[in-house]
This record gives sequence, structure tokens and C-alpha cells, in this order.
Amino acid sequence: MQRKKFIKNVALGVGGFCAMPHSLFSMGTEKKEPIKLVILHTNDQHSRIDPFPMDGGKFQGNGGVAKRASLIDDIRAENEHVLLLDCGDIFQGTPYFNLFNGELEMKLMSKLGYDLGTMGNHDFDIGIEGFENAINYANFPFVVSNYDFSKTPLRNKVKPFHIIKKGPIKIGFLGLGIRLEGLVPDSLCEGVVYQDPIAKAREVSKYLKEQENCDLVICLSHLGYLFRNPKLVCDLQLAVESHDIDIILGGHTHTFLDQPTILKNQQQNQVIVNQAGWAGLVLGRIDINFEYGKRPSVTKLENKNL
Amino acid sequence: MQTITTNPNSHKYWFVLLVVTSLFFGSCNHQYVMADQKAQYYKEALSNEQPKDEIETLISPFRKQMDSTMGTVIYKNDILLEKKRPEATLGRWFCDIIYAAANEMSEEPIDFVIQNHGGIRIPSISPGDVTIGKIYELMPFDNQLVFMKLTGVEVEELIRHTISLGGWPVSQSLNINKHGNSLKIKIKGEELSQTKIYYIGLPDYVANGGDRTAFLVDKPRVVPKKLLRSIAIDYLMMHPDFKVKEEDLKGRVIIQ
Repeated sequence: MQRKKFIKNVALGVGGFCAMPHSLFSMGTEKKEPIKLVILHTNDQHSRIDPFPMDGGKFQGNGGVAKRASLIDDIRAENEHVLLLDCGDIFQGTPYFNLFNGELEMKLMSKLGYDLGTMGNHDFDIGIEGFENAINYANFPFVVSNYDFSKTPLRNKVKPFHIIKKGPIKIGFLGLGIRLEGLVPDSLCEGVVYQDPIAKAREVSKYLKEQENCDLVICLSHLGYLFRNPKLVCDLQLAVESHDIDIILGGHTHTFLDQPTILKNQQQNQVIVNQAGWAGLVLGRIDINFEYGKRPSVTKLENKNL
Repeated sequence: MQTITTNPNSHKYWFVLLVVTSLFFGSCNHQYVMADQKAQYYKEALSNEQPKDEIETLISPFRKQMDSTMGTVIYKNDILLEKKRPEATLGRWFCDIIYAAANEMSEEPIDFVIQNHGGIRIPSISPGDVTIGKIYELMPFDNQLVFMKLTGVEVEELIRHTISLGGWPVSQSLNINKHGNSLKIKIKGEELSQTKIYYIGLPDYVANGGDRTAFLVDKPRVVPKKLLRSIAIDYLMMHPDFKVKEEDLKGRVIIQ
């Protein structure tokens, strides 16, 4: 039933651009130029550094960090305010990871100018210390709001929330990780305490909107877009049960979407949910226009195949 | 050429004079050679001047090191192996390799091998050379092989669980046919017996409760401490002629 309801909502929501719920970008009375924010995102890169080989496979020639880098360069050349985000499972999938333990993945993401990432279940594949070592090569932070890392070496290294300013725009971030039990061996995530993602999301997003006065709240999620089993928490459920999140960028289910899904939250405001396939095959893009005295509006939704 | 007039550097002048005279007196062939050399020179100069692609520069030493260990071809594959639900050729091929290797490793015969769908990480292997690196991509996790003793009742519980998840790859010794409420399980050609004890091979991830298999955690087991990936690589290196028979590549798990 839950799944049916979601799909119905999705069908209704898809299409048309929407106005973001909040109008916090209305401070000041002087007339200023509107500001465009370009949000780019990936998920489940799975150590796919090179394009898929030309062997007749389904994805042959697609993907690869170099191609993504040049697309991002082009977008940055045209736009002043660009965010580049990742929703987890950076690790595991090619021998680059088995041999170099995430060093190259982190170095490349730093070179590409990633602003922020969250953790997927496979980012625990070489244990907490393994992830800690790998992020020494990263020049950008990680956010997970619903894992309590206080009894692990990642305390103070993975943040419970994060704020980025792009020009005058203040963007608040939360991160949501999937339940680790039965997915990640205990020995690899010892001491990490999983907390209910929906409750944590409500708490952190409320703080970001009301206390930090963020103009936009973005959730980096590795919960998964939607599951066969309706008992499992997913991004679509999070969207309809949330209050203060504007955009949910997701991962885990390797979902390819022609365009993001738009749902209504508890306050009947629209929430954008997106995911960018996997393996760096897609670069997700959401453009938002901020105009003084007006609600922010979405001006572009595009999942670009690479 | 324009610099000649402003630059009195004598040997450049003589060089140009030489070029000009050779243009006048030389054959057409010479001219072409000159043009080719010049083109080559500019091509090289250009590529040296342009900043090298930073991304490629960063990846290159890692790739070289990777290719030196992972690029070794260990197997020639002659059909398209695919990962699909409930199970398909790629999973069958892998499970049959592990089944054959497991029976060589184990003192007691193994009845079947089962592999979680999510543990196989590439969509396909195309016909052609299979490198060590390809087996790493297929099975990147450091999952170990576990031998486990299960009663017929427990085997059925495990199989019902895998069906609820959409089906998992199995070795050719196991056949599952689920039609509505009826479930037929054949092991080595014989119907599953509820009371018999079976000896099976599976990844430690599953044996330790991964993919919600908590009911397996306390079952008796032998752990040879070998990675599934290494077992597959070693087996293919020792048995380059390994092939899954055409008839064995037909569906082993049918869910209707």
C-alpha cells in the first residue's frame, strides 16, 4: 500500500518545475541581482575511475572520472555558484580500491572540487580506520547525522551537519546513513550507533532552518530510493515524512531517474528527490534561482548521462 | 621566418637559407619530408606546451601499478555471462567454479554452493579475455568461503529466504522450482529430504547474517580461510579449460 501511494505521488509530482517552500532569501530591501545555484551530485561511484571497458558490455565506454571532470569544468566556467556533492559508496568495485584502499578515489574527488560527501555502507568495507586513513587524502568534509561516531576514531572527523555559503546563500546539509546491521559486518563498524534516520532528519533539518537560518536544506542520503520491502526506510518515505528538507540527494539503490521526483512533505511543501544511477554514469543537476523577496525556484532539473 | 629580419642571429639565418635553397633545388619528395617533419615538430611542441590533463596525470601511476598485477589474462570466456534475477549465466558460472574448487578443498563432498545476488558486482562478462582484475570486479569484497552443515529443514528456510529476496545464484547441483505455493527443491538430482544433513558452500557474509540471514549465524561450519575471489582466480588458472556445459546454463531457480 505504502509503495502504491508513493508511486501515485511520484506520478503526480513528476513534470513541471517547482517553487521551493521557504522564502528566507528575502532579507534586505535593496534590489540585488538574482543568484543561481547549481547543485551537482553523484552516488555509488564504486571506485569506477576509468570508463567501462569497450567489451560489448551494457555500459561500455560510459562513465570515467575524466569525462565527469571536464563536464564539471564546463559548468563551473558558466556558473559562479556550483555545489558538487556525493551520496556515498565511493569505495569498492574495481581493483583500484583493493590495491590502494581509497587513496585514489579521495584524491580525484578532491581534484574535482567536491564540496561534501556522506558515507555509504561500502565506505566501511576496510573498517573505520580504513575510511579514516582514506579521508586524509580528501580536502572536503563528510556529513552523517544518524550515525553516532562518538565511540569511534571518526568522532570529530565525520560531521553531524554542515553549512556551506555560496555568495550570500547559506546552504545547510544533513547526511543519512543506512541501517548497518546485517549489511556491514560488526567488526568493520564497531562502536557506530545507528539512529532512526527520519527522527534525526527532522531534528537536524529543523535546526538548520530555524537556528542557522539556512536558505536551503539539502539531505545527502544513502538510505535508498525505494525498496520492494515497504518496512525499509527510503528517500521517498523520508520526503513525505519530513518538514524542513528541500532536496534529498540519494544513493544505495543505484537508481537511474530520467528526472528527479517531486513529492510533498508534511507541510505540503515540495521536496525534490534525486539519484544519479551509479559508477559515475550520471551527473545529477538541480539549478535553483534565488531572487530577493521571492521564493527560490527550480530552473533546471537534468540527469546527464556520462 | 619573420624573426629573421629582427634577429641577426647568424646560424638561424644560415639555416633558413639552407631551407630556402633546398626548397629551390630539392626534389618534391624532399619538400614532403620537410613538411612532415615540421608538422611532427609542431605537434610535439603543442602537446608539450599544453598542460597535461591533470586527472589523467593523477590516475596514470595508479593505473600502471594496477595493470601490472591485475592485467594478467587467466581465462578465455566464450559466451556472454550476465547477472540477472533470479539468477543467470554469470552467477551460474561463478557458483560452478566455487562448487568445483570447494569439492577439491573439502574432505567431505559439498552438496551445493549458494551466492548472494548482491555479492556479484558486475552486470556482465563479455566473451573474450578474463583478467585477474575482472574477477576482482566481479567479487571485490574480501568474502571468504564457508562450509556449513544444515538440515533439510534449514536448507529449505534458506532457500525460501533467497526467493523472498528475488532469487540468488546457485551451483548446478541445486534446482529450485517455486510455482505459487508449491516449492520443489532438488539437490544433486534428488528431492530435498527434511531430515538429511547437507554440507554447503556459501560466502561468510551470508553465513554471518548478511542479507538478513541471522538464522545461519549459529550453524556449525568450517572456515578454510580463503577468499572466494582467490579461490576463483586460482581455480581458473589451474583449469583454463573450465566450461559450464550448455545444458547446465539453463535456469536453476525458477520462480513463478
